[in-house]
Amino acid sequence: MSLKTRALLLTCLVILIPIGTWIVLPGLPSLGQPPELFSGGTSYPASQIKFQRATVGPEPVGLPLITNVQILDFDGDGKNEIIGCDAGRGIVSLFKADGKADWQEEILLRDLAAPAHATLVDIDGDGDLDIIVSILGNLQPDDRVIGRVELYERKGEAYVRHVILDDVRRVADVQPGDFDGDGDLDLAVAVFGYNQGAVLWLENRGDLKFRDHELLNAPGTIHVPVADFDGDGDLDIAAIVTQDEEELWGFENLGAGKFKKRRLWMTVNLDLGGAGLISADLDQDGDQDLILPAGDNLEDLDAFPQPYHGCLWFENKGNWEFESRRISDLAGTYAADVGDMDGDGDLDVILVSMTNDWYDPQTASVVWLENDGKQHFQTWQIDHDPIHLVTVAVGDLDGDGVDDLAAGGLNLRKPFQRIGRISAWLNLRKEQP
Amino acid sequence: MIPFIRFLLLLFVLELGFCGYLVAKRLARPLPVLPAAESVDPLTMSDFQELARQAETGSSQEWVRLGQALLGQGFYSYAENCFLQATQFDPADAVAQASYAFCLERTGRMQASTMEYEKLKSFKGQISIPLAQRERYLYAIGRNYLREENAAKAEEIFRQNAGFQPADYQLAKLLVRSGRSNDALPIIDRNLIETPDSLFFNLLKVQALETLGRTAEAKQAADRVERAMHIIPLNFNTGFTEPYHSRYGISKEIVAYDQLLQGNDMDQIADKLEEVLQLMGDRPMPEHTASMISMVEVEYQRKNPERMLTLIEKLKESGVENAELLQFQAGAYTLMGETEQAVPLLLRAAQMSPTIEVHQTLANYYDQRQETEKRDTHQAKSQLLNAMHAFRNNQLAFADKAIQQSVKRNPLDPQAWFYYAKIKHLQGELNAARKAYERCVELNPNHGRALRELSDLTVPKKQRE
Repeated sequence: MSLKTRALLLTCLVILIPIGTWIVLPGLPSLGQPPELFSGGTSYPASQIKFQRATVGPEPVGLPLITNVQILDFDGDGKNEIIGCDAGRGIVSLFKADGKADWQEEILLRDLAAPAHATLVDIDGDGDLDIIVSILGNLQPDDRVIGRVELYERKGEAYVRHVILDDVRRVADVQPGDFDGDGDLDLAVAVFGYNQGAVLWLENRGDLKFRDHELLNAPGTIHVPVADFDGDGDLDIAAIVTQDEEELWGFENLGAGKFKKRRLWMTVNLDLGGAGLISADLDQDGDQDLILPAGDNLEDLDAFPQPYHGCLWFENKGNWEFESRRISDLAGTYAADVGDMDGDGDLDVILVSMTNDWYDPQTASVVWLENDGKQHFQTWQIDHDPIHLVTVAVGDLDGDGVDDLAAGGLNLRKPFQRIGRISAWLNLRKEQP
Repeated sequence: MIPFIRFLLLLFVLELGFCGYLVAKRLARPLPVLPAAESVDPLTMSDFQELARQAETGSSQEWVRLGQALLGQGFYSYAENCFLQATQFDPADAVAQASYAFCLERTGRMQASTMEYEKLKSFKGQISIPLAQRERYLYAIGRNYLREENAAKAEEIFRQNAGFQPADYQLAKLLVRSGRSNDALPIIDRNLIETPDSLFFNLLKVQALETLGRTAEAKQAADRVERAMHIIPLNFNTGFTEPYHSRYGISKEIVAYDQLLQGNDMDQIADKLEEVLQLMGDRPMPEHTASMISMVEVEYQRKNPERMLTLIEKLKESGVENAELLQFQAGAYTLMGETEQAVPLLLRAAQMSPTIEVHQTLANYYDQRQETEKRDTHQAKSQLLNAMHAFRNNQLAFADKAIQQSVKRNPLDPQAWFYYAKIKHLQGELNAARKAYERCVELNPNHGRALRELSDLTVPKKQRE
């Protein structure tokens, strides 16, 4: 090949290579390894104790919005029923067992504007259970004074409505207790509101009339458990304040309707997502501890599990000192209850999740924390379906003397799959070899 | 000639090396990863697929667009990968950088997120999204430190961001909660001069004054809280993702429907809604319920009560029952001339969720029937709600007018007297306020707030302090 030909060939190549690359490059396939996706979801070993899942009441339609479930003997027949608040339909329902894993729904109350909680208590002392409903007024964030406490007085088979507190923001919880020692039941009230809220107590003045007293002015109070936290023989009130505040408060009953407020705990983590509060003597040392599920991300358009989600146990050390310990990292934990799931005599903790990584079908929606008797907990996964669970209750549902579970779903966020309304998990411990 | 050939040879080798590098780099690009189809509604999935196709052969901008679409639907981890890819293509892309940091933040990796936000400090030039602006990313870093319970670092960052109201608020709150209310008050007061109606700063002022034992001033500040309606944004997450949410999938169609509302052509609006409902099919989605309710409203405007009732039944079958539906049902019966059926529904709606509109409709109905007592009760309630709304919006003159109408129509409502008293109190008419509180308590001896206000008015100021 002559030098001239070589020069010509090279010139052509020098011109064609960039042009060819420019033409071919966009059409080339992508052959790189796809990156690994991050998942903040949590899952756990399958529970050694088997549970049978069952739908409570009719099969769910649409996107049910259950705000509260409880297990109690409603009609005094010695068998437990389930009470549920359905904010989508504005009702409180009773679910009575009809066979081992079947329940029939009976609507007790209608026309309730987003009921958050139903408190069943004999408020008038006439021997039957009345129903006190915490009315949010709107399930969505709303700072208007649209909340109420409605008392449904049981008269035979009917209920008579009394509004015992209105002109307040959204009410999330009401708990009874004789705070002023006059022999009748008063009420502690969590006014969740939104940007504004409060903790109140309502003094029972007789004839189903109540006088409101403010204990704390703070937004986002979810639950107000009542117990004798300081062991002095009268009932005190605790409250979990959320909405960027994330504070645990105690209201020490000083007698004669006077309270001393005490901030028991706080975190600067404004995103913790405190989602509720229950009291229980978890370590069975004779005083009432507090249990805080944390995992509420409802302020986000789409929530995601966070590393600080889970459950905190506040051990009552006496003299209003509570020592906090994280006992679970369940993503999106929204509710807790306690029961002896394995029958070993100590109290275990049951948690449900609203916001695990639901796009991973194995992440947990229901777990139980096995207590080894020394408050060391092993987490066992009970289920991953249904999802979006915000309320859980423990009690014997099938009369076998073993604690079962009921939980409710608030289907507000994606994915709209594995939808449930109220579900039960029957504990099969006794049937296992 | 030989030197020229050598030069060409060198050029050839260089070109071959560079173009080979480009080809290898192109082949090594990862495919965009999309969520499983069953997790996404088909309309959104088809948008995702189209954007992924563009990203596969595109630049950082196409990857950013795909990332934003995924972010808008809450697929943070998928979006994170897109933004990371975009930053690798174009390290100067501030949108990609800020969005990548945001994804790390929302998925709970605060330290990594803070590191990525900090890279924005070196970015120059035009910033097209607010999150990439200094005050915003510094605020996000401060929040990250709070979420890590690192109060000292959070405080340091918020101090660097002084003048940005959300950062000022977080700083003042940290100071109040750590027993430094005296340091917090100047920050709070400076912001209250700028935004006197700020709810959060007013609330914080109450807390600060209470911790300092300045109870009389705290009470004054607390009175202001009830009428402080301005909300400074403290969480920008939803504001950041919402525009992306409404850009794709079914949300895009709903935005198109919303735009039609301005035209007021009800037939066209109904057609669009039908289209939206068909696109959603039977998939359970909140947008489905919202669109059905919108359709009921459109049919009300089109005076089509039969269709309204059919749609309401469908909504009930899907587990939706509320005061709004009761009101629409009543509207349908009114259109059909069956007012007697409408009124019990309106009464239920008024009991469930009282609104000015429902009470006014009932007042009009009873007026026509010349049932004056019932008419006055509903008119009074309607005016009371008007007054309460105006009171909370600090429109005292309007509130005063409305509440006077309310107590005139129904002088037996303690709630109306309570607001009458509150308004007079704020207007400085203390005698009128006292009398109104007394009237409220006379009608409802258990009105706790009225009793407290009355006590405050009765106790001499000095004693209170």
